[in-house]
Amino acid sequence: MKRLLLAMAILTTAAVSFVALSNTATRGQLRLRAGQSDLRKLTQQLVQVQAERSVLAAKVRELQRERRFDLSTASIEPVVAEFLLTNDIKRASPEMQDKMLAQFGPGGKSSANYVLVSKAGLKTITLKPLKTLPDGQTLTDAVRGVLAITPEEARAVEAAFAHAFENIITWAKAMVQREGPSGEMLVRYTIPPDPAFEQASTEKLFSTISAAIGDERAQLLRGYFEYNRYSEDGAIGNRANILEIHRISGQPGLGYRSGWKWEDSETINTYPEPIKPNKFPAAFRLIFPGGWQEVAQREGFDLPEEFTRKP
Amino acid sequence: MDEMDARHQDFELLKRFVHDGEQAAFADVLRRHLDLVFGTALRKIEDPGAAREVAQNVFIALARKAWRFAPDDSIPAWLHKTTLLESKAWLRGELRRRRREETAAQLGTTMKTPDEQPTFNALVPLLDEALLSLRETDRTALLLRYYERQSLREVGAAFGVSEDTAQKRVERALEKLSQFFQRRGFRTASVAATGAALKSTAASVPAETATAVMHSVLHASPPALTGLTASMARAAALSKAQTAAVCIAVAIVPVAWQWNRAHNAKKEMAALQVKLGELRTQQDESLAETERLRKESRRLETMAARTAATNAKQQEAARKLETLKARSRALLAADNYRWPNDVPFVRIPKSALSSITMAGGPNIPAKLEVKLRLLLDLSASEQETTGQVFSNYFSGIDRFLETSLYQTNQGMSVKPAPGADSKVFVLLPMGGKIRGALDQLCTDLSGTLGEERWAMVRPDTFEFFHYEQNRLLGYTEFAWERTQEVVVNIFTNAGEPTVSWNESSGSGSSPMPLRLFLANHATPFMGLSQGPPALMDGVTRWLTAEAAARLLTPVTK
Repeated sequence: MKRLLLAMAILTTAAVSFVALSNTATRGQLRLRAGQSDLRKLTQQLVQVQAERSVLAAKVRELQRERRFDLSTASIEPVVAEFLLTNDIKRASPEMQDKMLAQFGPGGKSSANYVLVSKAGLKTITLKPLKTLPDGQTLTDAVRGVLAITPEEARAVEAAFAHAFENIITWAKAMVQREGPSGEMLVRYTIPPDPAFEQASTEKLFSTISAAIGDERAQLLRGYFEYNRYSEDGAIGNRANILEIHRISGQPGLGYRSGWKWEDSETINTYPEPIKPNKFPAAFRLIFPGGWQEVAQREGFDLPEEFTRKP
Repeated sequence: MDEMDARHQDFELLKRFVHDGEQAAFADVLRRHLDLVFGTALRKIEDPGAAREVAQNVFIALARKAWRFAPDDSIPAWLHKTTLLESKAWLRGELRRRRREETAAQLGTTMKTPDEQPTFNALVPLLDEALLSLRETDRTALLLRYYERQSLREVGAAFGVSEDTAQKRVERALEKLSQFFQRRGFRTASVAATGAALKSTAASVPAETATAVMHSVLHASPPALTGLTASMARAAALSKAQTAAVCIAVAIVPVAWQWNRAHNAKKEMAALQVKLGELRTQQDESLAETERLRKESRRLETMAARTAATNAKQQEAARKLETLKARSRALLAADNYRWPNDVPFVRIPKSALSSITMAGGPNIPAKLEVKLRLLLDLSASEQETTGQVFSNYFSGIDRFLETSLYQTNQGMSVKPAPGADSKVFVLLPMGGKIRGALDQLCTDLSGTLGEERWAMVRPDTFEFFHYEQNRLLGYTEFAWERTQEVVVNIFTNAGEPTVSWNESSGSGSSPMPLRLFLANHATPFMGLSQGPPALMDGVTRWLTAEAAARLLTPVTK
């Protein structure tokens, strides 16, 4: 009986184990099959994803290549391109004018005899616009070339300057003051300032010039004229211009001091310098077209010997 | 009977009877245990004739079931139990009542109970029940010892133990039997009384009864087993260990097979999971990479679209630029040139370049650099080279200033004021160095631009040198070639730190409060206008530092 029970116990245990293991194995097989199914699906998905990835990678490479090509072939600076498409080039700012000129490339801005310059650039330069008195109303070749002033225009401009100078001379002769003698100083001529006259005279002059050559060139010419007149005619009307004739102690000849004066600043030389034939104060040439000889004759002093020598 | 294991003897005899049909072997078994069976039946039934019948039935049952016994089974125990069952069955029969009176009358002849032993007489009816309550080994020991009348040595041999051990086992069994009775109220049921009860109820089978039983049993015993029955008999004859071994052997194959299936499935699943994990990782990476590529692709497509639009604009702009260039080329080549109102460019004659200077200040190297860039059509490399030429010039001037400017406490031509904290700033002659540097600048530019273009932009040398020396050294030409000194005096005037200075050229300043030089002063000092700029810049920096040190730092003396 016990053996039977033992056998039954063993066999029952074995049967239970068998069933349990069988169930486990069956479930394992089922899971395995499900897993294998997942594996197949996943593999297929992966293949699809990898295929898509390869296609995309190729596309990205192509786009990058095209992008590099596009960037390398973009010949015009974008800001310049945008300006050219959306603006009137006549209204280009100074910076944009320079940028456009830069786009012309090496050698694109000059020829054998000429060079291209932006109009804005012409405002940053200066040059002597008029010849030295007594031809003070005559335009220099440089300004005629830079501003492209034709002979007809030049005649009109020079006529305007001549007329303006006549008015200034008339005004200066009327306003000039004479002092002296006083100590070593024989005489002092002073052309006093009159900003209102000077302003009106200049405005009238350039109004006439604008009518002859247009506002654009007239403004440039005015800039050059005003920049240079301090050294050319002492900015008559704008500054007080002074000419003094002095005896120089211990020396036989005479000397002079001259220049303009404005508030606390002046360009008058401290010590008298000798009178020389080729150095006559420009502002006073308007009053004394004959220069030192005219002054000497008027004031009754002798000029140095070098004035009588032939040049 | 030798001393070999009595159990195995019974088993071997039954085995020979079952497998070989050897009736003599079964007769031996019968003879060995007939007293036990007959005695037990007689005790229950109290009728010798019926006891014989019961004994016959018990041994016939033994013969029928002989194939079921294993070597470790106790035949006496089985016989005792079977006899009791058979006896009970018999007693339940129709003859029970009729025999009861006869049995009572015969008891006095068959089971003579001494009057002097009334104690154990009371135990007899429960004796077999008591025996059945014992464990099989204890019951077998008592049955062998008392009902089969074996010596302790034989009992030991039946269990495979020594005589002393057999005695102890018998005594222990008697003790347990005695306790059985005591638990049921037999206070006098001592071990001795229990042993006497056993001894007194042992019976010897009469010879004729033994012969009759043997004859009947052998006549009714089944033939030797063959085929499946023999196999079952063999199986039934296995010991517990053998049975367990066989069962395990039988069970292990399918279980192992299933275990192997489950194990393999698990192993394959694990491998599959690893593979799935790898694939999922790969898929995640691929998806992430794909997503990144999608975004990059979209970005590039957007940029491409933008670039396409830009290209269209570029092409349109290029057409306009080309028109502009053509117009500009026409301007450069025109015989009848007029001031152009349609473009922001003009041409100027190269012959006019030398007459042009830059506005807004004297003609110095910085202005010349701007003029070159504006008026000369410089290539990129020429722009780079001329830029380097100017850079070399300015860094050279900086080096001259560093090596020519120093501070001291005692000047050559200026003297510190008595009682003042003074510092003397000295600038060694630099005019020659500056002229040399300017010469080098002009030479380098001429080499870079070529004689023709240099002639177009070359400044008036005297004016160029003059203005540059003024910029650095001041407007007193005689000072360019002399050592210049400035003594700066700081003293207290009406309780306020005050500063004054004197130059070696003779000019100087009136006293002014030091606080004017504080960096955060309401009206900051704009610099010293007199004297060489290079020298006076150093003086101003020193005064600013002194003002901060003296006026902003608490004095601890």
